This record gives sequence, structure tokens and C-alpha cells, in this order.
Amino acid sequence: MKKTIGLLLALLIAVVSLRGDETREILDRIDAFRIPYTDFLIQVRITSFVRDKVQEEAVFDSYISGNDRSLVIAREYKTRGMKILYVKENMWIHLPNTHRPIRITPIQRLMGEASNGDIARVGFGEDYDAECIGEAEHDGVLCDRILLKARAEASTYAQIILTVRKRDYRPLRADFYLLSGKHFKTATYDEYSPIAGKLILTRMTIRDEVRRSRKTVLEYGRIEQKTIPDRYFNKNYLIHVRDLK
Amino acid sequence: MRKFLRWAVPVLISMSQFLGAADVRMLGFVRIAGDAFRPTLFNPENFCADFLGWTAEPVLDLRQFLSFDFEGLSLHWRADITGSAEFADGRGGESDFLVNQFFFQKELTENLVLIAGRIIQRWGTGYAFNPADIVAPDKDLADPNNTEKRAVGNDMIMLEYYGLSFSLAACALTHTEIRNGLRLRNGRLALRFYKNIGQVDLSILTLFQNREMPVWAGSFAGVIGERLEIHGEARFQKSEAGVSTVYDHEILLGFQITLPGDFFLVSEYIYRSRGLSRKAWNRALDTSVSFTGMLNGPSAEAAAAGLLQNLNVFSPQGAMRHYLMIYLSSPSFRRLTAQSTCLLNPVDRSFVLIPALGWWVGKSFTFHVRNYIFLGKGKSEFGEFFQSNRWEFGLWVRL
Repeated sequence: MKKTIGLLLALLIAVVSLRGDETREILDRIDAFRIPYTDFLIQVRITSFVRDKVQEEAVFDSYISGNDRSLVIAREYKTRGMKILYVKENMWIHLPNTHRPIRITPIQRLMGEASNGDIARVGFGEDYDAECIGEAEHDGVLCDRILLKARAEASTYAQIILTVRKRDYRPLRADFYLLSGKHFKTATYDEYSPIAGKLILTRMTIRDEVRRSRKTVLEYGRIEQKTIPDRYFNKNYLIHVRDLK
Repeated sequence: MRKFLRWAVPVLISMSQFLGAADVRMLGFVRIAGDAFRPTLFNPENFCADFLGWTAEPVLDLRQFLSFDFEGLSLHWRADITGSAEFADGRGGESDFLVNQFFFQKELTENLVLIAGRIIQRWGTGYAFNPADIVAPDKDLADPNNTEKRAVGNDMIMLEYYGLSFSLAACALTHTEIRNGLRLRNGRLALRFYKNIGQVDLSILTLFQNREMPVWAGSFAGVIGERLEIHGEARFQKSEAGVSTVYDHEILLGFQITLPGDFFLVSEYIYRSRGLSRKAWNRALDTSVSFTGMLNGPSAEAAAAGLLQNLNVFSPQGAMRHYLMIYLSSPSFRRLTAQSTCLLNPVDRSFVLIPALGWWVGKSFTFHVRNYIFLGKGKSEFGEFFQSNRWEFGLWVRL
């Protein structure tokens, strides 16, 4: 009897572990379309629209380091020089002409429909657990629907339903949900371009599910391998960060 | 020399702008402000209204911000200078300049950074109140337009080590304190240990200064869920008051939350052991009223009004023991933003309410209208304020 229970337990652990590996693999394959290098610089142009009329435009440089650190600097914006630091589940902002960084929540809007987390975070693997919840068709393409559940409360969204191409897990659409279960925003992944021998997302559109006349387009331009020193990811150094070119 | 510099600096800033030598921004505003007065203990029979009436003074203020950021002698140099010129009806033009910051920065190792010069450092986590901010410059009471942009840094040498989730700073500085309207300079040594644990920032701070016991302080800031941030600061100092020992302390607790619809709310409460209790406030009022009665002349009203102004919200720390600040802002709608700030004295339930509207026109222009409303019963802090209402209409230009 004891042997049987032991065997069943071992089997259960093996299944859970296999499932964990499978989940990890799904997230890695999805993130591969967003992350070309371990450390890199990605420049994003954000344009917000109301009823297809341009409201605001901005350009941000985002320095990504590994899976859980990024530094975003506003290059062209009404608050030019503004910096956002994201380390694990923590987020701070430093505004020009102020002298201390302020802790912020990822849900706070940065510009248009884009939240701070949309700009500062490029991958899902570090923040979410994945589970395949079925199939769907998107623009005539057979897709898997992947449910991403936030591991930490401070993740940008509590739940995301990703629609990915069945063949290669390329993300085509994402539906974002808040802790309350409210369908908050929808993103479509519109354009992919070859960078460093991989296909990388270069354009996405975020639509507000509450105020449906609003949308924000994120275009990823300059993408290059770049490593910046560790001190740049300490929130107290944020006020000393100078222009990085 | 000073007179020459007052004009030379704005001219130099303008030249730098044209030569593209530095990051230069120009900010200008035209403002019309009006005050309404009311009879209070310090303003019997509304004398202030007789002296000043409903005033409406157009002001044109041009400010230029110059930021030099360059490498030289293997050091990173930075200077922030403000030049300003103000033209007000009946006063003609007044110009001024401030060297807000001038310091160099040297990375001694990958993680160790040395900073020396005049710099503005803020170590607190609060928005309206910062009891733990032991290295920040005091606000200048004499300047009613004192904002972050006009603050002048303290002269200091600072060494800071940045670890992955912590930092340790040692800072020797000369601090200019504004006490009873006088500027006093004193030497200080401040230390800060910062550590990030999970989703919480923790700091322990201490300050040593001449002829005073050390100050011990701490602060925290953290995020709960997807919308809520909480923060707090505390400060303790042992001091001698006559023959007895007093433990001065100040405690701040606050939060900010993003509400549905992208409304943004910040609220903070502060307790200051040195602040006046309700009884002490009443005693101070009675003493001042009898003093005013003894003087009995036009200057008496002005003196009393000045005294009250020093005791109220515009003083660096406020006069009373308890304050509550609430700030609410709305998301922009067709380039229109609305916000409101309320500073409440919860003991006597008097408050100042500041609703404001802003309208962005293009990238460079903002119209704003702001109203300061002072409300409270007789003998209350804001109820006794001799102004009842202040309106401001303005146009900001950014270039």
C-alpha cells in the first residue's frame, strides 16, 4: 500500500513538473518574439489617438537587463528626461526638475492607453504563469488561447488571455483583465520584423475596452544589444542618471 | 556686481540657448490674482480690505532654466541656473538669478559614486510633508512662488554605494535653516541606509549636527495590489527643554491610489509633537489679540496679519500638531485637467481648499484658473486667516 502511495506521489510530482516545464516552454516561445537579447536597448514611439485623431506622441528609450529589470527614459515627450525604473515587481518614476524618485503602481497610465508596465516590461515569463485554455481562430489563422495569471499582485495585469499562432506561438492578440475581472484593454500585435536573426515584434496597438474610441500605437524602432551598469537599476541612483546614448 | 549678474545671467542663458550649448528651457507666465479679505480677530472691521481692497495685480514672470551637463577632467559636471524677470503693475521690472545646483559627480568604482558641490537631495517618501527629509533645503518663506524649480541646494560632499537592492550614503553638508525669518547656516553629517525588500522600500537615516542631539528617522514606501501605494516617515530627536528632556517626534502616513476612470488620489496625515495643541493655539491667539490692542495703529494690523501668516499653512512646517492633506486629480479630457488639494486641520476642522483647472493648448501653452478658499469657524486656524478667497488666472508658456 505504502509503495503504491509512494509511486502515485512520484507520478503526481513528475506530472506537475512536466506541466511546469511545458508552461515555461510556452512562455519562452512567446517571449522570444519580444526579447532579442539578454540586455538590450529598444526605442518605442507611442502615438495615442481619439477617434483616429492623433492626441499625443512620444519617444521612449527602454534599457532592458535580463528578465526583471528595465530603465525607461523619455526622449521626446512633454516631460522629456522622465525616467521609469522597473526592478522585479517594483516600479519608480523620476520626473525632471524633481529630486527624488516616487514609487508608482504599474496600472497608472503613462500615455494614452499605455500603462507604465506596457513600456517597461517586454516579456511575460517573469510575471505570469501560463495555461492553454483552448483554440480559436484569429483572422483565419488557427490559434491557441493561453491564459496568463499574474504571480505577484504588483504585475501590470491580473490576467491576460493571449491568442497565439498555433504553429509557432507568435502572439497576435492579448486581452487584459484587472483583479476585479474587468476586461480593461485589448492589444493587437500588428507587425514583426527580423532583428538579430529572429522575428521581433515591432508594432502593437492597444485599445481601451471602456472608452472604445481610444487607441494607442506602439512602434519599436531602434533595437540593439546594450548593457548598462548595475547601479542604474538602483532607485536611489535614478536622480543621477544622465543621458545615455 | 550683484546687479550686473542679475542681468548678465539671463543674457548668458539666452545666448546658450541660441548656441545650443546646454539644455535650456524657458518658462513664462502671465497671471492675474485677486484677494478677498474678511473681518477676523487679526483683521478687525476688515482693515486689510481698506488697505488692500480686492486686489488684482497682473504679473508677467519669465524664467529661464539652464542645465549644463558635461564631462570634463574625468568628472561629470552639472549646473542648474534659473534667471527670472518679473514685471508687475506699479513695480516695474525686477530680475533675479539663482544657482540652484552646481556639482560634479565621479564614479569611483562601478558602484561607488562621489558627488560634491551644491545639490538638491530629497530623501523622504511623502508628497506634502517630509519629516525624514534631513538633507533637503528648507523652503524660503519670503518667496510665495517657491516651488521645486526655485529651490536652492545645500553645499555637500556625498559618497554613496549602490548595491543590487540597497544603498548606503554618507553626506557632509552645510544646511541653511530658515528660523524666525533668519537664515542660519550649520554643518551636518547625514547617513542613510536604504534597502528594498519585496515590494517595500525601507530607509533608516540619522543626522548629526552642532550643539544638538542626533536626529533618527526612517521611511517606507510600498505597493499593495495593482492600484495602491502606501508610504510613511518618522523622525525622533531628544532635546532639552529647560530642566526636562523632551522627545520630539513627527510621524507621516500616506497613500496614493489610481481610482477607476484614472482618477488619482493622494492623502497624507502628519503628527508633529512640537506643533501647537488646540489649547496652546487659543492661548497664542489671545496673547496676539491683546498685543494688537495695545499697539492700536495701522502697523498693528499688519504685524498681526504677518504673525498669523507665519503660523499658518505657508510656514515651512505648519503651526499645529495634526494636518491632513488630500489631493485628487482627474484624467485629462480634451486637454482639460482638473485637480483639487485640501489641507485640513482635523482638530478645529478648518481647511484651505484649492480647486484648479488647466487647459493645454498645443505643446507650449497652458491656461489655468485656481481658487484658494480658506474656511473654518472663529478662532480656528484657517477660519482666522485674514484672506477668505484668492483667485488666480494665468497663462503658462513653455519653450
